[in-house]
Amino acid sequence: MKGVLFTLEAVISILMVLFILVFLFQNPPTSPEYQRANYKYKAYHGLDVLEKRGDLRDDAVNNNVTNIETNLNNFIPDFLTYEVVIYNQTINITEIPSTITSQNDTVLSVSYLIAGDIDEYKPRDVRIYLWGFE
Amino acid sequence: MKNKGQMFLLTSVIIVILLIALKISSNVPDILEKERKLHGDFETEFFINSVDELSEAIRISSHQSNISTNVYDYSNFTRTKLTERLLTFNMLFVGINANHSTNQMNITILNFLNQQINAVLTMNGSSDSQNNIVDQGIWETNFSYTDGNLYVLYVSYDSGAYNESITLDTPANKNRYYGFFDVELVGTESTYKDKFQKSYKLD
Repeated sequence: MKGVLFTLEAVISILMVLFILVFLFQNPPTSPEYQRANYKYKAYHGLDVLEKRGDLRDDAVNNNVTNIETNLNNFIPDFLTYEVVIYNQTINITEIPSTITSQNDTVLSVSYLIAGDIDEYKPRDVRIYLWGFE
Repeated sequence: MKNKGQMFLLTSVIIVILLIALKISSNVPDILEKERKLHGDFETEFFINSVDELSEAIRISSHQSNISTNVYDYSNFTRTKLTERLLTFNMLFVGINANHSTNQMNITILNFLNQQINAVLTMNGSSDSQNNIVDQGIWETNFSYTDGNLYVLYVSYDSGAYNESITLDTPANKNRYYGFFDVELVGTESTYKDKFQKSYKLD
């Protein structure tokens, strides 16, 4: 009986060490701050891709935030909530959703600057607000 | 020696604690470095976006008569937006509007260098033209030219400490706008610089 217990305890010890080794080294090191910076980068990358595809300027100049938000769907993780707000030189020209201003949670934002579209000089700051981080 | 099994367990618990401590201590610099790199990448991308759109502001305005005014307005816009993100935007811009029908080059200098400068312009050995320009200030002046010829515009300030030459290959019977940008963005992680010249066809 003692032999069985001894073996069992030895096996548990080995499994414990193995488990912690796998658990600790399976994922690259990360932090909440790093994750948030990464989401910001993804959101910015989304705007950049839209601009390169020719899907941003016209919507930005015409304040069409709904189109921009729809086009951004593929670039932002599903669990995050986001809203697009367009600013001109001085103020926001599309509404800042009340959910942003009343959020107690962390809200991050990224900006993409646009000078205008084709022959229309209309500077715009296309800003994405992100929240709902895990 | 009676509790050999428990000794195994105790040893493994100690090993586990040591492994966790080792992992945490080795991760901190790694995470910080990754964070720093990501912030740096992000700032670089934002800088590229800002500079690209400065040039785009000219292209968009190239069918209008107020190109330099729009570039000035857009430079102010860029500085405001970058300042909101705690980034410092410095730029010297020289815009040259070559009008072949009047044989005049309208030259505009925009000073966004965060300091007053005494700018000096010389065109192909002509007499110097100079002026004090405050930060966010504009200086406009004219030079005569004959289209179809090559010109070199020398720009300097700080008693020659800053010196640049801008080559202008003017086409015959065509109007042209030349933009020279010397841009710097001071970010939280590092400083990004770019210097370039572009020429734009005008109607």
